[in-house]
Amino acid sequence: MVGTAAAADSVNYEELYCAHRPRVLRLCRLLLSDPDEAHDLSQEVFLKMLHQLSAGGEEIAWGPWLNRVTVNACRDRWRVAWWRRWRAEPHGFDEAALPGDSPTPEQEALGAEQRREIWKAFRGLPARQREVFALRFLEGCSTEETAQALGVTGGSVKRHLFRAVQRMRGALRGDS
Amino acid sequence: MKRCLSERALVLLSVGEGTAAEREHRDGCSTCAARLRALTADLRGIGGVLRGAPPRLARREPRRAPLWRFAPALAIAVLVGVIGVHRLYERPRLERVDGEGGAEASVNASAEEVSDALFDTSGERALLAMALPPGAGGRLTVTEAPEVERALGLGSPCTGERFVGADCSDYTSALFF
Repeated sequence: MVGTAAAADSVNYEELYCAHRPRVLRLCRLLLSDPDEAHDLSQEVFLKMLHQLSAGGEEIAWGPWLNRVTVNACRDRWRVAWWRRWRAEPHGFDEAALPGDSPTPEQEALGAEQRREIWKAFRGLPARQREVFALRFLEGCSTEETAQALGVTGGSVKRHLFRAVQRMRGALRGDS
Repeated sequence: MKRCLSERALVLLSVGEGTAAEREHRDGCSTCAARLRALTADLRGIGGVLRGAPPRLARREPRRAPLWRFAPALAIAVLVGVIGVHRLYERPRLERVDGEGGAEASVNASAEEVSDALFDTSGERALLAMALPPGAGGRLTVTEAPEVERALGLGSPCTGERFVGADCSDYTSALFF
């Protein structure tokens, strides 16, 4: 019986996985410092989704649900790994790792030093500002969706977004 | 809306929010429109960088913990060491005293000396021997009682004028005369 339920859910799971995996992985990469760790965590998120699917129950809007679960998982991972981050001094970047796999036109237009400063400023944002900036601006979620994912009000989302934008622009201009 | 838009309003307009009045002002004000264009260009550049693959963090040597972090542990270790050494040297001394015959025996000997000095009865025993008839074996009988009373009536050989000439070994009593 369990096998039948799993088979029925597997199609649905595959569809959901293909539809949301790139976005979840990108969000994990934004919110965590380590791409490998982001990959691991995205797998954990989809494992939770599989459990949720197996449990059944009421209809779920999977986009917001995945946003919320991903943000919470990243937050937990970030909190747990504070000692390792402190030991590793994660303020420098490998020059060889810049640019990314496929540089965008904007990336090509910006110098390596400026890109490094932007990433450094983004990782230096307070956790809440980083989450709001990633969801609201980079992922294109609405203010309501962002607020729902983070468990805050719409006004709080706007305030954090404004502060994050100010700091990121400062980094772009070399003010930081 | 006559005043130019705040930075916050511009940020909200750049993500598709803001009030109708703010949008109307943006359309009519060339300054605010230019500011919004600059902001949008900046955000596009930032978004382009952040949407790409993130750079790996540099793997550096692990940071060394500052020395002062070890100060409490060092203080505790020193304290434990001092206590340990103190106890180590204290214990053999006690064992050595016990090995030579024991502190108890030493105390007993001292107490006996003090007792002899304080309660010396050799004078009384000598008087008693003189008073007792020969062959009594040092034991008093009822018939000898008056002689004993007479001898005791003379008092201690170490009292009064008798101290100088008498065979007195009661030095403690002599201190009082």
